Amino acid sequence: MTNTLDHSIRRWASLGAGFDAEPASRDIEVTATSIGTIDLERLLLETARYAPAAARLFIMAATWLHEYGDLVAKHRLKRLIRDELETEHQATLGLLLDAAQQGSHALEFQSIIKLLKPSDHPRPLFERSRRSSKLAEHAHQKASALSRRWKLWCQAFEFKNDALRPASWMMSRHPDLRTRADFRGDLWASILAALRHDQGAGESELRLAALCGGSRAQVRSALRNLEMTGRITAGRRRGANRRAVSLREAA
Amino acid sequence: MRIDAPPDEWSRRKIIVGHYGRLRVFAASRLDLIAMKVVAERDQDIDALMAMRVRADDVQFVRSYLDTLVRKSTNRNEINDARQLLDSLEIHDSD
Repeated sequence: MTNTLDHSIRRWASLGAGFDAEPASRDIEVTATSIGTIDLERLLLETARYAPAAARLFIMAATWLHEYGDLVAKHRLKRLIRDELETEHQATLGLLLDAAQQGSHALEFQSIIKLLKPSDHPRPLFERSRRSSKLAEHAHQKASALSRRWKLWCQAFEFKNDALRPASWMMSRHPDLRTRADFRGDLWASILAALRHDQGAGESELRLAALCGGSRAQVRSALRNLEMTGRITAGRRRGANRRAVSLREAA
Repeated sequence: MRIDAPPDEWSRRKIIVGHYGRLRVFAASRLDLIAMKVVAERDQDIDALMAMRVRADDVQFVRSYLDTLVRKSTNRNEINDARQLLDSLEIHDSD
């Protein structure tokens, strides 16, 4: 688990969150299904799994999301929550997103939070407070109202904006995030993220719709726009009756 | 930064981190760091305290430190909370 926790921290560091860790290099991010960029939505799922082991991870992730929540592809995140996030980690993700949107004029993650349920058993969010009844009681006494709502006790905290690198630093390392910023996390961002990170997403419009979390009609309409602006190519291969979609390098 | 937080004479115990050109960088000592984290008692401080494997001699230092806070302007509830946290920590033997 430590390796995975460290890996999550290094990826957040690569996105500009302040940790005493070497940022993940682009090489580390290359997997069978990615072309060398961070899968932000899966990183959120991983953070929900590992943040209970490290308070700073939780606080820095919330700070980053408060500042750059626009970059999260919301449709795809909802799909991944449904298909990949274990039930026991859903409350942690709910609390993380809810904490991140506090103080924002528009509640950035409200539509996602509606999918998530509080913990079945009230308890401290952080593992080290679960180790002794005294520390659990301390966590309960100090718990914020928000964390009590999610039945995962943690203290209220201030966002650590001074521990975030500027957007220009992050964008220079991850140019694909520029497009996400332009789309403000809308369906277009989810389509591009699915094509980039989800195996076989471009095989057909139907599969793409399933993996990006939109309806087929929404996706077809969005694809027309993405093709027009040169971000994707779409077409039938000889002999095929399905329209395949692929990402252009610059997308 | 809270002006009441640094323990008395912390600067005598500070440790050198390194020389960077004409700049000398110091850090608070282990004892002072533990004391300030106990009184701050945020979630991330408790993580750090666990990682630092607090020992009996550390606890003794922090108890004396909390007594000095009573004489300063520190809120009594905060001091009591810090004492409660100190009592909750697992104490490790000297390495």
